Amino acid sequence: MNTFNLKEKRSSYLLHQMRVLMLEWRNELAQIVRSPSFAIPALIFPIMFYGFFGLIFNKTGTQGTGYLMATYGVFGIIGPALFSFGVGISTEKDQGWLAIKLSSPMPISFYLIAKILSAMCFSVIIITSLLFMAAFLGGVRLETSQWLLTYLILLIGNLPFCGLGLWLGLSLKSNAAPAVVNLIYLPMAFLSGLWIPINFLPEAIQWLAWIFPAYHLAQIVLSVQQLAQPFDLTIHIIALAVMTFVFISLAIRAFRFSFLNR
Amino acid sequence: MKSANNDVIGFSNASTIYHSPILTVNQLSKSFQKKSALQEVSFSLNQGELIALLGPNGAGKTTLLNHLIGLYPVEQGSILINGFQPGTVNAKQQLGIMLQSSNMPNALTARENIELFSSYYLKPMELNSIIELVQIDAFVDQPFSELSGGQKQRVFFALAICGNPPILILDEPTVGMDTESRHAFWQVIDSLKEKGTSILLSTHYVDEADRLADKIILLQQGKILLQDSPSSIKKRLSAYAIEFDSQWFVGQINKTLQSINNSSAIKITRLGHRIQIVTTQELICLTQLLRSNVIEANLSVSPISLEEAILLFQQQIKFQNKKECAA
Repeated sequence: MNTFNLKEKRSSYLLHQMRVLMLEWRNELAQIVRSPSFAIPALIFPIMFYGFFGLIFNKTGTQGTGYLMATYGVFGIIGPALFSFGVGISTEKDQGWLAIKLSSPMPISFYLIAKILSAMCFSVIIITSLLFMAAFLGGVRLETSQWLLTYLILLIGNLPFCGLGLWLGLSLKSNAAPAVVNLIYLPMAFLSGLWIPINFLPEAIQWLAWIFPAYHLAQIVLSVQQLAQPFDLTIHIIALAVMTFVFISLAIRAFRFSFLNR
Repeated sequence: MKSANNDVIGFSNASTIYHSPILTVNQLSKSFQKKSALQEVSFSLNQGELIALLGPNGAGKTTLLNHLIGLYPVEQGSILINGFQPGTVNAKQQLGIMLQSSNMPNALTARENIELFSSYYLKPMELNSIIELVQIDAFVDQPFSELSGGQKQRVFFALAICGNPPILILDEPTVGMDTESRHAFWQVIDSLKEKGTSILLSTHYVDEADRLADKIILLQQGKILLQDSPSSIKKRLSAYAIEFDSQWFVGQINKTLQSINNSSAIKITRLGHRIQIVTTQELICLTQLLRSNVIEANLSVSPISLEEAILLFQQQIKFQNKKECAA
């Protein structure tokens, strides 16, 4: 009888928590979708750029189309993660909304998970569009496992940028955040070889790219098609994991400084 | 805003209310880079009681509230919220919070946010009951960005009470509200108190504190200067306002009353021809004024309001501090 009650309590608690998370996610998504100044460029730019440079003006054949599908995929998923976290959190922090959320009984993890899920929703639209364009308009032919792996890596590849965005969002003032995020996002995309293949860039820049998480993620995605630079894949995975850890540690520090005053 | 009835609030009814501390703050101190923000603050909030926190800007009101809601860790002293440490989920379940000068995401509606905040609590109020109680039905589905300042405050109040918590922490809740909305807000507060909700209200409006509070805490430079009921404070700081017409300058009157001024606080203000003197020594003051022929016409003497009493008290404290510094 007691075990039954305990089970019932546990399942009702889980249902309650699930409802909180769903509502949190719904509000987060509604907030993004109702801000066309964010939603439209985040969705249109990667697809449009890939259409121009990967399909229409591409003179390197299907290999180039496949290559740019991977790099524009990385470019596409970074935007929603950086802006949703970086700009979104800094705005909510300065508005006092984050303080209200933090002092409510909601688990703070739900706030972050809802943001990650929302960024992933955008990623799903971007990745699906790019992969469809590559397959049906660009003539890219890959094994099913390669398509799936590309999709999965890009989707999970959101996380380091969510960490970077979280740190920026907690550290920056809301009026500075959009400019700073753009200042990081666009040069990082170019210097990591997301617009132009990294091999076409000067050697010094190729080495500089190692400091950017976008470069490592792009190399991991490209390795699915055996188009990555000749370095061990493990190095890129470790580099990305370390960078994610550093971003989250910095975010925790910024959070303590902003809210706990220590 | 409407009065909360038993159906709406769903909290313990008035007959079961007992006056025991539901929130206790004991010897709480806090410093920011060696600058003291709170100094050994102690008080307790009973069930169904409303405490008004008063004090000038920078007195430590928001720092105190930030400790209660778990945003600042308790470093010195202790806080218990219905038996729980602040910042824990259990403590947060006891609190409904309305913070000073907050904003919510512009694109979201009040309904969406109330639904979300209600879901955080175990026994929330019904959505329609909240909408009716706080009277936000006219704009509940409008984006937050389209609401006026007073309407936004009402939405934040709805978020604070939607979880049906036993304790409300309200930081300047009526800022931006028009007179009608303020009075309606007071009525809801009254009915919540009747149902047993305990409220800690930080405000700059002394009339609001006088109207709503069972106890007033006056904070200054992180210290509690006064902690008593409004009526006791008025009695304790018993003082009178002497008003009359006069051509005399404030400086001249000040000189005339110098003997009183040196021993006790006195506040002289002029509005056109009218002079107002607030003093705790009304008889000596009147004698002095009559002797010096300062009063020209329309003399009136009346007990001061709570606001004037507190201002006078703060002036007395400043005067004492100056004296101590000089010594």
